Amino acid sequence: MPGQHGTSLKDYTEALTTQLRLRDVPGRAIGQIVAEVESHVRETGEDPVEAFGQPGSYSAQFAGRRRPVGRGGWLSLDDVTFTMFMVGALVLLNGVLNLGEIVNVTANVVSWVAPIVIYALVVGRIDIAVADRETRTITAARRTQGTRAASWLRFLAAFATFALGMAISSRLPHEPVLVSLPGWSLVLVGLAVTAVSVWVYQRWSDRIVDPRPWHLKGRPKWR
Amino acid sequence: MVTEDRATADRQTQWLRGVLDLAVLATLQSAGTSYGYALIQSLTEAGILDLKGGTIYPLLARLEQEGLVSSEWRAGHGGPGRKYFTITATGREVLIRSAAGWTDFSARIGSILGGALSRGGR
Repeated sequence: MPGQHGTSLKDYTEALTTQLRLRDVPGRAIGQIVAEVESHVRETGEDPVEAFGQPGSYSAQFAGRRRPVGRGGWLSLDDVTFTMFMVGALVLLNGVLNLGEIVNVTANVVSWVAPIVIYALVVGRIDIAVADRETRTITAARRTQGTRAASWLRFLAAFATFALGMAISSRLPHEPVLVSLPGWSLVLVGLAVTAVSVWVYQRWSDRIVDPRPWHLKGRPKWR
Repeated sequence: MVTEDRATADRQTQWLRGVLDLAVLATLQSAGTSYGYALIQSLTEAGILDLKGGTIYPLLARLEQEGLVSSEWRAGHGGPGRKYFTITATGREVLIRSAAGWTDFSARIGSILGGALSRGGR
């Protein structure tokens, strides 16, 4: 239910989560901070902005306490696991489509690996900048603008990566064959790579953990 | 007049900044265990006005990080889950030591300001 500032609790906690992420607050701490906001607002019925201030300024109070594992620098763990997962999924798909056959791997393989890597490294950062702009100050107008901009950027990014893949593919030779593999081996490799990426993400990524026991959460866990 | 009220409120906010953590620890010591909103209510009843969630929760997080309070999520009375805070043994030690320091400090400032008040009254 929107409060005096027209801010629903859901919008506020989502914006706060984004701002805390952008300030490199560890996932466990984010879980605690957001659960406290939810609990307080549900109990008092106060407007979240009235009680805690704008998501950008409230999150600033928690910044710089401890740098989490897997974030920061030019390459994050999330980028690596995303790239691994996507590459693994493509290898798996190739294997399934050519299950009883021999697949010839040529230099052309770069045409579908490169766009994934570029998407993870470059476009993800543009998306983060849009999320920052969208959630620093929570107003209905800014959220609409930001969401629209983010949708367009994602569409343009997907189109650009597809075009890039096609452009690389048309320039790279389909000869010589680097290696010939049976379809079933690609299935195994694809499964292994996706499984490892999921395991690494679950084990090492700085995930947000809701600190409340399940019966106290009140609604499904946030992002 | 509005500007004067604003200036008084700003000054009180500055005073509070230095001792709010001690006020929270003292409230927790007398309550045994409490949660954010109840602490705000107790402190408001004690005369500390305009306390918001945005002030109290980061302070409680800092006290917990310093080991002065511990916390646990429990069910509220028919409402959502609440994070209950309890003062630790270290918190009690810090409270006693700092409360003595604050009392001494405020007495000295009080004597300076008291002199100014009596001179102004003449």
